[in-house]
Amino acid sequence: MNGNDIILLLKKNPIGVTCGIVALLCGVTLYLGAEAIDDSRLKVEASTKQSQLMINNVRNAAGLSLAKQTEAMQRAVKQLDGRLVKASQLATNLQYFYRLESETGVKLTDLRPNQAPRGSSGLYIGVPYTVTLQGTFKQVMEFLQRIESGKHFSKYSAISFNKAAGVEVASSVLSVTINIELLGTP
Amino acid sequence: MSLIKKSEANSVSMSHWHPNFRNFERLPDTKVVRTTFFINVTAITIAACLVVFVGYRQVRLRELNGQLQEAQLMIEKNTKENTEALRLTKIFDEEAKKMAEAANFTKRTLPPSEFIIMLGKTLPKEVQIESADLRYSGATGDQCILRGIVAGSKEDASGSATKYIEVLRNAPLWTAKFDSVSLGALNPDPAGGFMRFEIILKFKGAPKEKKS
Repeated sequence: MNGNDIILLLKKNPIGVTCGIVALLCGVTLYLGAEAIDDSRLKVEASTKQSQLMINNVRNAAGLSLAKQTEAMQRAVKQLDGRLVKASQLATNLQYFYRLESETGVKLTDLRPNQAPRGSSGLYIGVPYTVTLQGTFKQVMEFLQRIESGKHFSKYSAISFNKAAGVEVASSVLSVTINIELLGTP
Repeated sequence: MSLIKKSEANSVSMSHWHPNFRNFERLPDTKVVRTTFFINVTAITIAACLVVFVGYRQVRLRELNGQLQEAQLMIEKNTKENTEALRLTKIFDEEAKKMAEAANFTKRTLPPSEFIIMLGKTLPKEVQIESADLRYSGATGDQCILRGIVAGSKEDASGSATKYIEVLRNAPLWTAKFDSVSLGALNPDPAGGFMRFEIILKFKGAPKEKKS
């Protein structure tokens, strides 16, 4: 088929040839842009999702007064931090117990810091102490209540109440041994 | 007759009366509907379909691009506020974690002062507690061991001890805090006329001892 034949064919079937060319162009366009719509759809979905997420974040933050709540939480944590003990400040920590002793009237017969457990994964640690004291029922109760609702956060590991040795039963002096942890930082 | 017969016999091998000089390719299509018409219609239909399809895709693409731009605009608009919200959330979470840890640390099964008050409320006249050991941790879990004496003869004292255990088992104050109350030991005191007892109380949530 030479040039003359092609020209002849074009002259003979102008519509068919034109349609063929159009179809070919359309085919090329479709082939080249085959993934354009899918890509665009994915981008739109991702962007819409991100946009919606951001809108929700902004709306929730505004609705819940996040700024105020965060501020309140920070204040609370600041107060909490003020009630923590520092494991390294031994004298200050022991002073806490001695102050309780003087305020409640119990007699501390032994007060020892214990070895803090290692490998604590939390933000805070329990600083352990062993406290042995003697006192009347009322004094002991006051001491315990002061510890439970005192300045520092505390947790009992064990506590043992016994009649104090060497005193008369009628005097009702108690001997108490407490294993306690105070919430603190290393 | 003989002439006719001869003629029929000779007709089989006879060629056309003149050669066919028609050029079919150049002759016009004389069908009612010309073949070219069908070819053209088919070609136009296919081309039109393709054009419509391509057009539709282009419109759709344009719509999607419009949506994409809209979403991008929304993202740009909210980015600042969103970043601030995320920053606050992060701070809040960190602070909340600290609070939760502190709350978890101070969570008590039963504060000793409360335990002593409970003990005082349910203690019968004939029973005297000599020691109380509360363990809030350990292999056997949270538990309390009460040791004391019961006044009276062996029979009376054992009855009083049993009654006391029943009180501890059934008093709402105690059942709310303890899972089980059991008598560990009840022995006569060699020195005097009373019985020594040991009562084991398991806090709620304490692990059960394995039965061998």
